[in-house]
Amino acid sequence: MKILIAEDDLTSRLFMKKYLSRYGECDLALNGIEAVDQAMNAMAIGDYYDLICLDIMMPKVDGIKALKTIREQENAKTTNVKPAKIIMTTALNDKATVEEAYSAGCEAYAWKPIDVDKFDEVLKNLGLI
Amino acid sequence: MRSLFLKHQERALRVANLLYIVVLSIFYIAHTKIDETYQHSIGIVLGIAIGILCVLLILSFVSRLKSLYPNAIFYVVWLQTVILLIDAIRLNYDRGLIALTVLGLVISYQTVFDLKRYYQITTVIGIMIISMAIISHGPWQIKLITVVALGFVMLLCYMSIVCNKRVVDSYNKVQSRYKALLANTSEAFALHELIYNEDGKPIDYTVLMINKAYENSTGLKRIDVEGSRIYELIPETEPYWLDSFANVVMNNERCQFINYSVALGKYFKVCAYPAGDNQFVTLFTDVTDKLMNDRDRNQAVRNAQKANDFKSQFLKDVNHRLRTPLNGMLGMSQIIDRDSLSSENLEIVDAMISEMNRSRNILNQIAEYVKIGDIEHVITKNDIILEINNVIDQVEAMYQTPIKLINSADLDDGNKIENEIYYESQVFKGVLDALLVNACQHSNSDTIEIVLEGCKNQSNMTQYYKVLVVDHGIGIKEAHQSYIFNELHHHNFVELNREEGHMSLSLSKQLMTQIGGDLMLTSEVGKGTELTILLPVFDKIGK
Repeated sequence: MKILIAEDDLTSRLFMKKYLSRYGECDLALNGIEAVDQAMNAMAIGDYYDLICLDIMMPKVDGIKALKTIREQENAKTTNVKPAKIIMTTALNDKATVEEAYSAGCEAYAWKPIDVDKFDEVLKNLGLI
Repeated sequence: MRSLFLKHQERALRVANLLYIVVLSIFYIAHTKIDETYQHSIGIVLGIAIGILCVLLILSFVSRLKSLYPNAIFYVVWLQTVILLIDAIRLNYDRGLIALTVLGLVISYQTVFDLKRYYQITTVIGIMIISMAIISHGPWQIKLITVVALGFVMLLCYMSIVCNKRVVDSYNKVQSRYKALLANTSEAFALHELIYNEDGKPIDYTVLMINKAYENSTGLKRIDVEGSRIYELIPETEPYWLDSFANVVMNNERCQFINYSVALGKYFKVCAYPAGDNQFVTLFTDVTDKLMNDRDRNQAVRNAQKANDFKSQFLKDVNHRLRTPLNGMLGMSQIIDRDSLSSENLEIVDAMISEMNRSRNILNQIAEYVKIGDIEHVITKNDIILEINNVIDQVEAMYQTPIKLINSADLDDGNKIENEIYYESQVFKGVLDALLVNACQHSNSDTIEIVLEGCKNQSNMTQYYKVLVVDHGIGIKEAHQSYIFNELHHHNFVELNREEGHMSLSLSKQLMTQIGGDLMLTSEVGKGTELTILLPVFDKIGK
């Protein structure tokens, strides 16, 4: 599985990488802009990410905007599209943010601190493991 | 007698008219036979007069012309009588009688507007006429007709006087009522007249009349105000007052506004109406205190809202900031290679994980409390049994613990809830879900019961649904019961590890209290726990 982890906090980024490395190769992004760039580069060469984990509160561009941009790019492509499964990993869980994330096109919403057992269940439900 | 007459005045007038026509017609016919000159002069005029009387009688039945009838008939009857008198003079009848009749006619005209004088004059004239009729030497038919004619005239005078008096009395009564109303109303009243310059542009207005409330509101005295122009009275009067009132007069339309008077230092709520002839009426009240109170109240509400928003935002920020490092710590602790640790280090790591979990639970509770302000209340009249069964289905699907509903709300025991009622469903469903999940998770009970009852607060007759969630499990220790609704205050209690996505008991109680209800607990160790939701119901939304 090809995985992109977008997380600005060092420890959280390290944890997610160590945790998800058991399932596949992990790329890292420090903010929303890097996340979008990496996703688009992958789309361009046809090597799509299977899973993208997006933090919401990130500098430069937040996770929701990054999510919307990635989905727009996926929708713009007409051939050989393989949309990534996107999970928001965030400390925010107010109703408005959750609804906004789902409306923008995420598949799941994981509230920090992340419980790895529950996260594994989500990955199973999404058919990724 | 008089009241009877007044009641049937209209009919009496018509009957009198009809009789008069009959008598005159008889007289006319009789005289045309005995005196040929009737055919050519007086007779023709008399005939025309009879014709007019007939027309008037017919027209009196037309509702639009009814008001003309009394006056018209009055003058025609006068005309008739004058003609008769001329005839009597021509035929050289008793001149004394004739003179008195003429005098009676003239005086009756003068007494038209004065009932008291009318009574006096009628008595005198009546006596004199009858006396003269008796002692005069003319034919008895002429005497009779003259007396009757005068009688009719006096009767019609009386009717006219009474009619006018009623109108005048009514008018005076209405006037005095309006004067009393204006004098005693708490609303200031003023009648003004607009003043124009040579170019026809409004430049000022005169105050014609005011009431007591005007003096009280403005602090100005009637003696200074009435008859004065406003710019003489209050030179600092702002132009918008004149503009508004000029608009009322020139466009003939009312207006309403609130404006400030610098000179008087007050806000006034004004209604202005056109009153014809370049005049306008203003009714106004001093609303300075109310506006100030509203302003202060609105400011206080805004301040409170700001403080509340700041607190909520602060809690959200703190929650978010603490979760990020906690995510790193807990996350790393979950993927640590436990097999590589010594037993001593394992004990240390487990202690760290326990404390981090406790911190996470505290943060979860803080996040929940922040959410209280975001919860949307939904008032509904949905069948509460259906709502409860939906919640039961969801919880049973998760926990496989049988949950039974016992409905006692329809029992006619004096506490029966009416059919068409409203209640808050969003909070209720969330709280019921929380209680059932709590019972399924922690009570070790084989079955759970929900008992639905109606109840009434006898002192204020408020109706409630009482929803009891009963388990027969392990019960809650008495020492813990005092903290059950107050988790944050006792840190040991967070070991309950409440299931995420469901409300805590303390939040449930907070929310029930917020909607006017309550959540109560009784429990006994080894026997079970009973949690009671008190859900207020309404027969109309908002009541």
